[in-house]
Amino acid sequence: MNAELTPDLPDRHVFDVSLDLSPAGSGPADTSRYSGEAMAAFENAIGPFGGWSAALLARAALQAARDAGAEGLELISLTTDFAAGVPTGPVMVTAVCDRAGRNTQFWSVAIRDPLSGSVLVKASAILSRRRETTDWVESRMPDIPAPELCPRRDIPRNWAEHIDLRHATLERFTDRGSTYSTAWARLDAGRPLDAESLVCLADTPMSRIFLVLSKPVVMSTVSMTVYLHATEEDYAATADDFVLLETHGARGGRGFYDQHARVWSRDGRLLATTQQSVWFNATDRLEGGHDEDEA
Amino acid sequence: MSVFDAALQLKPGEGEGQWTGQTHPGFQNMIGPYGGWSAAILAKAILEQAEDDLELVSLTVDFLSAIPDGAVVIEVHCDRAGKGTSFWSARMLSHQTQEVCCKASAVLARRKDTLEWTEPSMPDVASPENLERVNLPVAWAQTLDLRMARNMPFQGMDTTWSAAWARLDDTAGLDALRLIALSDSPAPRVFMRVTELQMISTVSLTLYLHACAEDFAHASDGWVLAEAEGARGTRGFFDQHARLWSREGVLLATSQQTVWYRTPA
Repeated sequence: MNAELTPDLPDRHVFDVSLDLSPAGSGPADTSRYSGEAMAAFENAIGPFGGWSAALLARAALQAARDAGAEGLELISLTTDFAAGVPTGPVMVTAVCDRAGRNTQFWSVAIRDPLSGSVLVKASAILSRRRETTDWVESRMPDIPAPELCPRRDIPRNWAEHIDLRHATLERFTDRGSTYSTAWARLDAGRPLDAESLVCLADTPMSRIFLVLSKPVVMSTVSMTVYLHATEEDYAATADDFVLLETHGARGGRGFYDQHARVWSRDGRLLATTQQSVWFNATDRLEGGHDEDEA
Repeated sequence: MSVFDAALQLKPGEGEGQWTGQTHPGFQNMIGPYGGWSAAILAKAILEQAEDDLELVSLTVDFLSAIPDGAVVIEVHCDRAGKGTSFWSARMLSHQTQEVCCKASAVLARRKDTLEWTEPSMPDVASPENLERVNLPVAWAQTLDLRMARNMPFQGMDTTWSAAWARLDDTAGLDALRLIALSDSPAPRVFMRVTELQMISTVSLTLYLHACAEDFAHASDGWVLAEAEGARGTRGFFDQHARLWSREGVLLATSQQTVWYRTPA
């Protein structure tokens, strides 16, 4: 086991420990290599929770940019493609800067099999030195019950031990023809929000197919994009509090559907927007007016 | 051959997975080409490289730097090929400068019939025949017919929701590459909030494609309604989210982008 991965402080949050990356030399074409570990703590059904993998790649881009001497860059956009399951255990993480402009950098990062080097999860990250401009938010946070009034979901997965998820509003798809729902989410116990945890929490909305069919079925996110808006002040104001994810779907068919979410702080700051494309294979028929073409 | 087909011509390059193309005057924007052209030609190179029965499910294009006029080299790489789904990377370099100008990440799949559903409905707007073509002072607006259906840029609105018809100015109908090109047609949202032209530059665009062959066949007149809205603009970047509808109200694709701007407070 890599000694660098041993937590140096006993009270570090498991999320922080899980994102530790140790420099492991460089590869061809200015590739920076890091070694990390997919910990059992964030295991999902197969491999780690997708939000954790995306967060690790966000960390890799931010760390590699700092290692290359760039200070003060923030994550603007991250698109993560989930190519294969990540086995629990050591992983290799690679980072390449595709372009370093004066204020904006473009990175390609990947979680790889430590032995073969093959790509398991890859991401495109855009980092920038942000500056003051005109500022606006268009929509409003929905008026929903506070997290204290919503029960914590009991999800039989390791990652759900560390992420507190609470449905706030959830209506039947068959009543509305919509999967619109809202839910609170946060990392457990005193871990303040930052770019990496915001990316991680962006993957918490319930998969829309579960709402369409009112039951869990086999599915797998193939791509997730997060646009980060939160300012330093927004992170400070949110601290370790819950964030609200307001989510809806658009269209499902021929094996894929998309879902779109806004991430709000409790006091109504729009912290991020996110969307994902998800593979599924359910061939159920919907009851009531949703199957007109088949009549 | 239509301007679009001419602008997307690719020849195999020297190396494995390499293709060469050419910027086209019909897609010239203020600086470099219209982003929808860059996205479409990257998608085309990936599809050319992939097996015939794979369709594009998701495409993300990052815009790294302006593309100089002239030849471009596109390098395509398959990162993982599963049984039904494969993951690809591509990048476009200027032949002249050898600099990477754009890069793309794509998910392709052999699509099969499953459960189908659509959640939103198309907004009720006037048909394109009853609307005026927009006259923008950029070359791509001669290639792409754009008609504002609801809300115009530069009116200084508080919200940025708008709907506009778009099609390529030819009779070739609609397909995945044309849809990708049209997905970049919504005006940058900051334009909806101000009254004068601003400096902007899309840094990343993501598109999820839903349309099947039958949807494309029904949209044979090529018109797509792009319904777009912003979420937040702050400290130099704003995002915008779009739904692309066929005239019959079929949701063909959803897309989003993050855009650099510098409009002062």
